[in-house]
Amino acid sequence: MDKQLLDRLIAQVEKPVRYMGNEYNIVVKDTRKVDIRFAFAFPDVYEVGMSHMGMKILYHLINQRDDAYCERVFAPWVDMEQKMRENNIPLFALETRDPLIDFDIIGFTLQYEMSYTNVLNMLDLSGIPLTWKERDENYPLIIAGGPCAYNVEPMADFFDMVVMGEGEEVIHEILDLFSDCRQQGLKKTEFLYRAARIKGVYVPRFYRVEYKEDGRVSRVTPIDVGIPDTIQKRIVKDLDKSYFPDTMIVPYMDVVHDRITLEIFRGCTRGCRFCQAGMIYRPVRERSPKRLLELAEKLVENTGYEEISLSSLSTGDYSQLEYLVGELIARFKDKKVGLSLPSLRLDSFAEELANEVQKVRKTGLTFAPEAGSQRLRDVINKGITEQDLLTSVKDAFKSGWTRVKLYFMLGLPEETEEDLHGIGDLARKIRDCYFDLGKRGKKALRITISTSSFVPKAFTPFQWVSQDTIEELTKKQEFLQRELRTKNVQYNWNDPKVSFLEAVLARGDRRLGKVLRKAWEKGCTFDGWTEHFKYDLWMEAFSEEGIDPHFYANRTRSADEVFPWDHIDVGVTKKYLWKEYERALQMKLTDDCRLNCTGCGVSLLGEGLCP
Amino acid sequence: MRLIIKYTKEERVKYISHLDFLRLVQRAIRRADIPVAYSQGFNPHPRLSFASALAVGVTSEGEYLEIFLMDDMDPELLCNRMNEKLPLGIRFLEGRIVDEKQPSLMSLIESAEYAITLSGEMLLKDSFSSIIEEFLSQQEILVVRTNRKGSRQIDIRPMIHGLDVFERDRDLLIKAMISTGSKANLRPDLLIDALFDFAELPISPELYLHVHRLDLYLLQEGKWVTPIGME
Repeated sequence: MDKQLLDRLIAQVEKPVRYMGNEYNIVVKDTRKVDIRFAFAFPDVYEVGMSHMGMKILYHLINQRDDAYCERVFAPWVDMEQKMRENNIPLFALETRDPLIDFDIIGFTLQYEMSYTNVLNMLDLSGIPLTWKERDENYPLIIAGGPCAYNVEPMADFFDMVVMGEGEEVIHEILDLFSDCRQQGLKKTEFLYRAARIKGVYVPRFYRVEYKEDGRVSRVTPIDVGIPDTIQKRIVKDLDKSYFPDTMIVPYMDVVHDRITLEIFRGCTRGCRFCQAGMIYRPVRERSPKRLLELAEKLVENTGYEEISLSSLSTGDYSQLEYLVGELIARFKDKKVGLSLPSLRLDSFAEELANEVQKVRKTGLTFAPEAGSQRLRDVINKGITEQDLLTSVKDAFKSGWTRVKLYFMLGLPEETEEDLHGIGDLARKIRDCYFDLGKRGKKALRITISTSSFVPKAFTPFQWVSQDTIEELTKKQEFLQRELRTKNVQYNWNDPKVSFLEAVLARGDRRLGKVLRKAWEKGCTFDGWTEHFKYDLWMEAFSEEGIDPHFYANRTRSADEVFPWDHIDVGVTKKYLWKEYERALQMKLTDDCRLNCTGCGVSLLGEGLCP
Repeated sequence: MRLIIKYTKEERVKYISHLDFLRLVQRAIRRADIPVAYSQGFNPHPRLSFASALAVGVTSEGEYLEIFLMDDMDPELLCNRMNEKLPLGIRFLEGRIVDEKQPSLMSLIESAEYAITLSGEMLLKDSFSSIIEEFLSQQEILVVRTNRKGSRQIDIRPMIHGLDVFERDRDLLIKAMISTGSKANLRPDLLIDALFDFAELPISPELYLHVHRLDLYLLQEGKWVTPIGME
């Protein structure tokens, strides 16, 4: 590869720093002295990928090994892709600028469905055939992980191997085996056959999917002896003992989350029925304040970041949050290091906490009631009341906040016009709270209402339900546009066409592989970016491949339906999810399982896992 | 205490924008535990400023920044501590203590010296020095400068303080001393455009342009001096 030409191309594109590399804290190794060259691939642009915590963990974890060198690669933006294609420059890793095709393993992280075509595009830009069938011994091993890996079926044609669950332990087992097999001169299939027996490793080619005449899956079975019937996800038992980096790469450009992220716990016990993360990341495991403070000290010292953020699915639920926040603020005040607390749940929001954080840095206030009425919040098990919300908002206004953001979902199961009306009511009540205090100018208040379209996901109690059609969702958005045409209120909504496609892929099966390929061939990439989403091309791809997308998105499944992902065991059982679905229809709340075990099944993953 | 630091921005970091560069220095200061002074106000920020913004893609061996410290610190020690914590490609070369009341470095800088490398077989190398001679002998050199407000014609001749040409291997090296700063500012690519226009040579994509800044100068008693060498 002509690296001088590459440098010249970088000079000609937008945000060249995306492709420059050489950030502080990157790992530099002599490539001749390592056995395994691993490329951690994030199928989106640099500034999105560099915000991802999983990459920070695995990058430094793999690089602790003397026998392996992990580098990073991101999807080049369209301008760079064009230059690369025009000049025959293959996709390269940031650290060494070596072509990806020279690597041993390329590991993609699947964070959202709309990045799938970028995976295909990155393989193609590397000169690597897309499907495992087309790749012989000479090509790198193509693997994947991340939340979308739990139903990876639409991508099953493209990956050699997929890892279910948390990677800290299993990545070492995979790399050890890879190294062993290579020393013994074994072929790729033999390696995969052995890898398939590592807990948490899924090799799609070793499973046969059979379909019924009506198009539904009839069964998924292993094709060989020694291949397990189900693949159980991996989890680390003790977060204090598991690896967490004490250093992070400090990007030059302003990336989406440009700060130290301290992961305070994994899992969530709230049990919101629409939430896939809440199910697949169970059980809850906390890191101790002692360990977190120790990590924070080292991370500040090693990165020089001016901000620390606490990360988890529900930060307010951390059992020692007040202590931790107090300590962090006290220890870093002199160094002018601020603290931010994202994804605070409404019901756990404490006024004192907000004030504490405010001392260091003032940010907007965000709540996610998700639904506009108590009835619908009970359906989705979002156990918060309007009273909670208004009290929190009032307290926040009293402490000087003037901006409130509220997130809702449209198209939730059992939703009626009353629920949409409820969103408008809530906005008005919040405005009244502000005006009742009557101390500041009316113009300062800004209430932002954002709605997303509900996407039923695998491994949730709503995996059986049909998604609203694009037309229905559009009507609901139009209703809200009228409902929220009020002073001080701003309404944002998303494109329901994107949500439709997301729903198709989220509960898709292997037959979608050819549609993905076709859509990519037609020019679909960066589908998650509004300006690049090409709905019409996607619909052409579906019709040319003879696949009906509505079969996946807009169909209610029966209780006994075999799902394309039934051979994956995330801990939470299908039986439990069905029970939760029935309770949703009866508007019955399910308690936070920290109070009472609700029998979701995750405790069976290992002894002493649940608190 | 107020210090002036001379530093480099080399090849491997040349795409960092001015704003991103400021942030990276702030983070390196925190890593190196330099006792930087903070501004007053609701959102305090480190008291740090640059002599001149360097365009994206341009390298330099003579950049300057100013920093205010809460506690006194030896400039050499500061440079050493920072160099341990800076990314590869940025080096703090030397520093000096200056009067706290002196006007900002940014307001003092008046010119910059650049080395501009052009590689292209089609350049008429032999005749280039005579072209430059003719180019400079013009009474005025009018170019069109376009910015957000629109385009207008300006005379860049008074902004050219020196122009020489050298040959190196197959490349043409142009050394230019041109106005930089708040009073008058000439971008090196604009100079090259004007020069090529005059020579009736095309600016083609194959003409690889590498721009390198050698140093920054201010005028003292009719002489060009660097911020480190000034009185």
